[in-house]
Amino acid sequence: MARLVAGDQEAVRTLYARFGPPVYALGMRMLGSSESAEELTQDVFVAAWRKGSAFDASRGRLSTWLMAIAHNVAVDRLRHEHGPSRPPLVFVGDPPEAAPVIEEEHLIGRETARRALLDVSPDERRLLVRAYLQGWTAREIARADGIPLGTVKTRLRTALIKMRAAQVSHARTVARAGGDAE
Amino acid sequence: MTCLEAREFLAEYAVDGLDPAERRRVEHHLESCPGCGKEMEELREGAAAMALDLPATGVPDGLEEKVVAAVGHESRRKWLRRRRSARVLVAAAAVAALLSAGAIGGALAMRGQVSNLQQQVHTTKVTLEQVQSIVQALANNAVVYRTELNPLPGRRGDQGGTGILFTAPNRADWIFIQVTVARPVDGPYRVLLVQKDGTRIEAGELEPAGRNQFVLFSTKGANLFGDDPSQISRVVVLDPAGKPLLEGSVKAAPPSGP
Repeated sequence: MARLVAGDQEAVRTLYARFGPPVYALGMRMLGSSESAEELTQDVFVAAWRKGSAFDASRGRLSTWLMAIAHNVAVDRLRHEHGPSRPPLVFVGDPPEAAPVIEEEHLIGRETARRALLDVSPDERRLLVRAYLQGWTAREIARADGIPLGTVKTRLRTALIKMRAAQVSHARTVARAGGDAE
Repeated sequence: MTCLEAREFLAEYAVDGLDPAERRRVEHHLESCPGCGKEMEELREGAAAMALDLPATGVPDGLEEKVVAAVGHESRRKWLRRRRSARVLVAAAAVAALLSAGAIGGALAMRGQVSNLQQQVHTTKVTLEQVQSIVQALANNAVVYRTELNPLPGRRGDQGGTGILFTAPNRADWIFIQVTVARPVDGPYRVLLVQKDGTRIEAGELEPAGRNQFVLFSTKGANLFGDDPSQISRVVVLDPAGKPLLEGSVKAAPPSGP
């Protein structure tokens, strides 16, 4: 990280090799175009370079830190581009249908997420996709689904905890097999 | 915000679902609460798992080079900003040093080495010319405006002053005024900057720097002179009764070498 902060090209390439593809994939999923995903990827690595000195490995994983930056930048862009009336939101009539299982398997393809989602209820699945990948706020989800805000918050928290548990379990499995968990 | 209140928001914080005000409140709490910080980190790990496990999409050729170039560009820009800031700081140090020299000039006047007030006014002008040349030499992209302050009608003629306004846009604005007052009275002498449209900007109060000398050196940061320093047309010194004592028009200083 110190080499990244110093602007070392090799450090940038190393970080990109590890996290460039998932950052780009997140950009494609959230922003919907290759051009936006490319811009997002560049902005995220510049932001990582700027904030690098604040990263504390004793407080969290590099992957969590970097993907949090990526998601934050993507959400900002979504809200900046579409504002409070962004197209995916529908507040009248029936709430949007839950994403079918096939779509979620397409969205979240690897073993870790698949295993995690086995423990996540359909409502929680839909919630994660809306809150994390589509940038809906809890208040927007509560209004769209006609359920109490507190329920949305509780479900979101539960779903995130389940995702993390599956991630940890998967990392342990990989570590036991002699792979690289992070 | 208590831990109980913070924890109600942590999941939304982890997925960037809070509005800016709520986000700031949570971050303020997290800064001083390791327990909530740990919980937030765990929720963020769950959120990051969503991103890391998205199916791979083909990354465009050349994106790596764009990323490397973008970071390199920002790195160079930061280096240049630091370099410019360092030059501004050096210029500030030079002004401070010469301000001391100006105060010494005032002290010399008090000892009779400068024969009269008129000569003292001249001494301060010489000092400011030195300041101007050094500031211009050290601070790139900075603009220096000068003013010569003369007594208004009805005021004694053997008093006056001079000053410089220094502006490095969005980085630093300074005003540096030295004034000689023939018969000072108690109370603050104030300096006003008057824009072309008549708007007045309070620049500050003059500080005593000798029996007849007063100095204002204000470095309140960027944009002290408003958004467009070129709109400042006059500098006015008010006496403690609030009546205009000295006035001078403001002109961009011609470049002068060190």
